[in-house]
Amino acid sequence: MENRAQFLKGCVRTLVLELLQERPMYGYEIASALKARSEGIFALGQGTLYPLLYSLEEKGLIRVEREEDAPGAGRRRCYYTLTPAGGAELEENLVTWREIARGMNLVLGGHHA
Amino acid sequence: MHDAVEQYLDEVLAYASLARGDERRVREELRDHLEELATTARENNATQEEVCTMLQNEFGKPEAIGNAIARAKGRFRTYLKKQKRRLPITLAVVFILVLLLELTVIRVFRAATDAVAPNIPLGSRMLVYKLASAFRPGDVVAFRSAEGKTRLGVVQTVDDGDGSLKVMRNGEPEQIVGRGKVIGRVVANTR
Repeated sequence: MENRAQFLKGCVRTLVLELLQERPMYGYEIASALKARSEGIFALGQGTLYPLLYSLEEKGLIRVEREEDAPGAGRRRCYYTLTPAGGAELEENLVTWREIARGMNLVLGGHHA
Repeated sequence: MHDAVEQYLDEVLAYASLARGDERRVREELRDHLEELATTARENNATQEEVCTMLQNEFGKPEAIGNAIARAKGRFRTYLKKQKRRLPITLAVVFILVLLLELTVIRVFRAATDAVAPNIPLGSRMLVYKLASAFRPGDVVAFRSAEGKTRLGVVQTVDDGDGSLKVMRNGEPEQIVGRGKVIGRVVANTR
C-alpha cells in the first residue's frame, strides 16, 4: 500500500502538469478532473495535491494565473497555469513515461495482461 | 461556531507552521476545497463527526498534509521561521560567546584621555588583543594601573628578565608595568 501511494504520487505530478496545460484550473477542479478521468484510480488524498502544487510553484513549473474569491467568506480560488519551464518538464515526463510504459509492457505483456 | 472544516484547517496549518502571508493564502485556498467537499455531506444531513471523518478520508491526514506543505513551501522559509522561534536562545548564546571572547581573547576599549595621542587620540575605540605575549618598543598596550584603572601606554623598553614594560603616557613620568598588570596589545583602533 505504501508502495502504491509512492507510485501514484510520481504519476500525479505528470498528470497535474498535463491538466494545467489544457487550461488553468484551481485545486478542487484538478482533484475532480483527476478522479473523473482516471475512473477513480487517482481519487484518494485530495489534500496531497496542495503540497504538490506548492512545490511545483516553488520550482517555477506552474504559477498562479489569477485568484478569485469563491462564494462564502474567506475562500479563495487560485487558478494555476503552466510556465514555459513547466511545459518543457511535461514534455520530458511524457517521453519518460512512454519509455517506461513500453518497457513494462514488453516485459510483462502476455504474462500478466 | 467552529465547524468541522475550520477545525481541520487549524490542524493542518498547525503542522505546516507557515509564514503569516503564506498561511493566509493556504488557509483560504484549502478552505475553498474543503467547503466544496463538505457541502455535499451537509446536504445529506451528515453530523459534524461524519463530516470530520469524510474530510480525513477524502482529503488526508492533517499531520501528513501539514508537514508536506511545510516541505513544499521551501526549506529556507521554514528555516527562517524556526530561527525566529529560537531567537531568544540564539541571542543568549551569542551574548555568552561575546562575553567569553571579551574575557579571554579580545576586548573593546575607548580612549578616555589623550595620554597616548597621537597614536590613539581621545575618543578613539580600539581592540585589545589579550593573548599577546611578545611586546616591542612602540607597541601601544593596555594595562591596569596601581589604582586599579585601565590605562593605555606606549612601550619604551622591555625588560628581558621579568618581561616588565617601561611605558610612557603623555604628561606623566615613565612607569614600569609588571607583566601581570599588562592586559594586552592594541591591535586596531578607529583613530
